[in-house]
Amino acid sequence: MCEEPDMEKNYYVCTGCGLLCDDIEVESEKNVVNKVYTACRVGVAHMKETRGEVNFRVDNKPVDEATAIKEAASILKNARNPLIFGLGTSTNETQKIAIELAKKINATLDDPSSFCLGPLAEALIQDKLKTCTLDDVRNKADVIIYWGTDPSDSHPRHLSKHSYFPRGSEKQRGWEEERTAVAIDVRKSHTAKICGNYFFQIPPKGDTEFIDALIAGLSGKLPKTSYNYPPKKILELANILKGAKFGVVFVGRGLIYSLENLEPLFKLMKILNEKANFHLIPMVGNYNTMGFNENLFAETGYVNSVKFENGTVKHGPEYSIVESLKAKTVDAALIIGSDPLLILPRSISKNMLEIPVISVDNCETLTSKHAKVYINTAISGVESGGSAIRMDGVKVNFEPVIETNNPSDEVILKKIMEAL
Amino acid sequence: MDFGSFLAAPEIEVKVITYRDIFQDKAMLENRFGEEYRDLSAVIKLDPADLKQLSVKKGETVI
Repeated sequence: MCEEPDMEKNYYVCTGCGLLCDDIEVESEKNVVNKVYTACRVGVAHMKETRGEVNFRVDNKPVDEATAIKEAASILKNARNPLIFGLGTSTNETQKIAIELAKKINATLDDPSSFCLGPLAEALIQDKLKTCTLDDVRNKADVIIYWGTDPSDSHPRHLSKHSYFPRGSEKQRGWEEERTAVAIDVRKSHTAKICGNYFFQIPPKGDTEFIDALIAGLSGKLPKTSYNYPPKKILELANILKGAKFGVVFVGRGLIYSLENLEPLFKLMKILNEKANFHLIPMVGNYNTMGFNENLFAETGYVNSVKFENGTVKHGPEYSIVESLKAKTVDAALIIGSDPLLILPRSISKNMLEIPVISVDNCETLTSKHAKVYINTAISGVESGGSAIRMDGVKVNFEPVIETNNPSDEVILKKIMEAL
Repeated sequence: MDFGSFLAAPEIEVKVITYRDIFQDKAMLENRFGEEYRDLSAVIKLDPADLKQLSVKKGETVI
């Protein structure tokens, strides 16, 4: 007998990157994800992440959950200045508990945005830059700039779902006729190849000069750079930008790392909005880094790098993970869903090997292997639900795809709080 | 000490631009201690002209 086709489909949210795609179909059996439809290569790998048994360790020996929690609480209690770091792959709910925990133990609290797109997130939260949603981009955008970013690799469905290829409500003729995509980068990325003749290759650290030259071009002056970028090409770009009815600049780390501060970008956005209509969206990598920045800002007025001290909050680069490890000012670390030993330069991260580390993560990492306490948690967004903030500031709620015996990071942080 | 001055082969200055791609990200999610991730993370691509200037042959150690 043929089964009735199931017309009611359940769509899940992929928490593989900052796009939080909400149209994912999954086939699962006995709490194992077998097939994932619609997601990109990274999303499929994320949703099918191989799982081990529930795993708690202290000093590299397997223990039960209660022992791991007790040891974690003891480390934090005995620390003079513990560091809490990570949380880019945690829900808003987990992040808010982590902020409470940091307050309770007078901790230094930071996330990867302090060495990624933090300044940009702060400017957007403070309304210093004009922004829009990815849905606006899909429906209205006619000129799209990818600057120092390669979404074809980092956010694989960015171009197809939102920014270039889709036919939006006001852009029915799509990329063939109604959208112009521009890439500005130091290398010919996959995204740059899609942009064809509108790829502008600049030397490393050449962004500030390129912005100045572009501003000159937009103001009717001759654009000059010390690396002799052809003025004709910059003027051609300036003309495209001037004609934009709904322009968007997607800013990646490539641009932010090249700038001393955000002033050149503020100037460029100002003149772009005098001549045309432009918005800016940061290319946030982790699925809820924007959430962390917003949640911490709501609580403290800062987006990262804070130190709580008896009801007060201090802020500055010295409270970032990089500077606090460099200066050895922190004497214990609670790392949630991050792998500083992998992502930071060895010269800095090696200082973490001298202090007791608690690693709360859904998978084995370099950090978890060197941690005094390792607590294996559910995969946020696959095995546990909650809410997060998409890279464009839109709140997205999601349900778990499958059930697990592993506790979520939210549950673990609550238990550590109780044990304190 | 300028160790390079003792090398017989010619040297060139290179700027290394690091980036991730979708294949490396996928491999990392599957197993960050796996062979696939290691292979995709330990590659430096050089311009053919620079390789020619270095006059290295296949299999030789360059650093």
